[in-house]
Amino acid sequence: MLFKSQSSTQKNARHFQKRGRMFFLENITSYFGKIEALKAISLTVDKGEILFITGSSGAGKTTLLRILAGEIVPIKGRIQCPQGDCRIARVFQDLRLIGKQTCETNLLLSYDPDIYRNRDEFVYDMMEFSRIMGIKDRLHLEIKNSNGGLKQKVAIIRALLSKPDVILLDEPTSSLDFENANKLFDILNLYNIKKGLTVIWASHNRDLVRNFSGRIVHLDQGRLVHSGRACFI
Amino acid sequence: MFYLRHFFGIFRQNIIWGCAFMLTTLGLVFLLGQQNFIGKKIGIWLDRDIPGAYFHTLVSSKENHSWLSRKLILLPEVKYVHTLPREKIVGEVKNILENLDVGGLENILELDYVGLKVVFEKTVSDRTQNLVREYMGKLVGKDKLMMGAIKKTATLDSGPRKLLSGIGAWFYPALLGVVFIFWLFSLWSFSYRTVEVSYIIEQYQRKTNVSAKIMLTGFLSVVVFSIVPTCLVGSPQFINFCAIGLLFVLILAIGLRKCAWNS
Repeated sequence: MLFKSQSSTQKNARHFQKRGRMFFLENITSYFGKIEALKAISLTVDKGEILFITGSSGAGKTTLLRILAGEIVPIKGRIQCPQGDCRIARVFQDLRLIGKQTCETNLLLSYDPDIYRNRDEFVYDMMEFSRIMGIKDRLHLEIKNSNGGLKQKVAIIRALLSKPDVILLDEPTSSLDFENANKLFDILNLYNIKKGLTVIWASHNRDLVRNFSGRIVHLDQGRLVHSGRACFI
Repeated sequence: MFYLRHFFGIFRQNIIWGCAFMLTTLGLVFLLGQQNFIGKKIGIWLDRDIPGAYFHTLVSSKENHSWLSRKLILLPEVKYVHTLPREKIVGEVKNILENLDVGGLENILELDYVGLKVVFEKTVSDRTQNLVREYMGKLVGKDKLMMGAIKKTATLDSGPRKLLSGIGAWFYPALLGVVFIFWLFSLWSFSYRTVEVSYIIEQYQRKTNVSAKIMLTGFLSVVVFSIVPTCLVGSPQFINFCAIGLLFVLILAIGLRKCAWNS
């Protein structure tokens, strides 16, 4: 249920690349309190693209993701977001899981009857994602008693369960080891190829980024200083 | 149903604040719905031990003092008539005479009396008091009675009794105020826990104003549940229900329309 058959993979990928752009930002300036978090950022994100946003702490990565999610409105500039029935899912830096509830209950909160035909279908997908991420046997644990890695995986699965067109990930691998981070990247990559998922990933993880062959946007003190291949960073 | 399911889901996870919210809502609905009934009950309960003006009288034990008591109690503004037995009167008199060191006098004095304490309502007028005394004289004959002076309400309404009387007037509004404050606090605490769940639903299920809708649905179900015991006591004042409903909607509109993550 999660993915279509292998034979349609390349066809789908080409189809999504032809679809055009997903986000268009022009001279975006935004403030975080009195601090200028983003300074005249111009950026285009295509449909079905995987984009890494890198930069040191306070460079403006989270602010950029929040603008893309429509959570904050920039002071200056023009922004064009996807219209119509486009689902944007987020993985928050602070994860935003409910501590008193179990991993399973946290995941069940994202069940949307408009997306799934019934609850069983949702539970099936939830179990499949849990199996792939290796947390199926720990779903009964309360979030407050869970380790950082488990929490992070739950947050990622929750985002994926909403069958998004765009996924915005804010430091999703901060509590994961390199192996798990690679596994997550592989899952998103596969989802991107098969479903045309647009992935916008803000990360500190240099090793992960180094192996990535797609486009990387590098921010420095609120300015976009690079947009291109990883080898140039 | 979706919002109600989430309301009870949050209730199960926050059982203390959930119960506090439900109980205070029930209390508030009952207090507002049965304002007259509760006011009356409180008044009776507090006034129970606060007598009005009264006077003592000594009646010859040969007279039918039970009949006299029954006749008096039928009069308007007479709250109750208390009979002091002959033995008690004799004992009291002897005690006084001994203290005065005139112990032989009890043989000379006729001590064959029964005491009556006639207590009036608090609202009794002086004229009514005098009419009751005159009526008593006519019933028994003035020569067979020894009436004491009337102890006025003014002398009774002092100190703690005056305070108790004052409390009677303020008890209902004070009780309502206390329950309302507790209700507000429990509402705030419970809705604080609702916000997290609502935030996640809003983020991943693309719904809006989830927090307000969950609280409104839950509140209405608790109110409906609370109306049943309120109606059992007597016909409730529906205008007060409307007032609390409006207040709740106002609180939701101000405080819970948009929810943010608490961390």
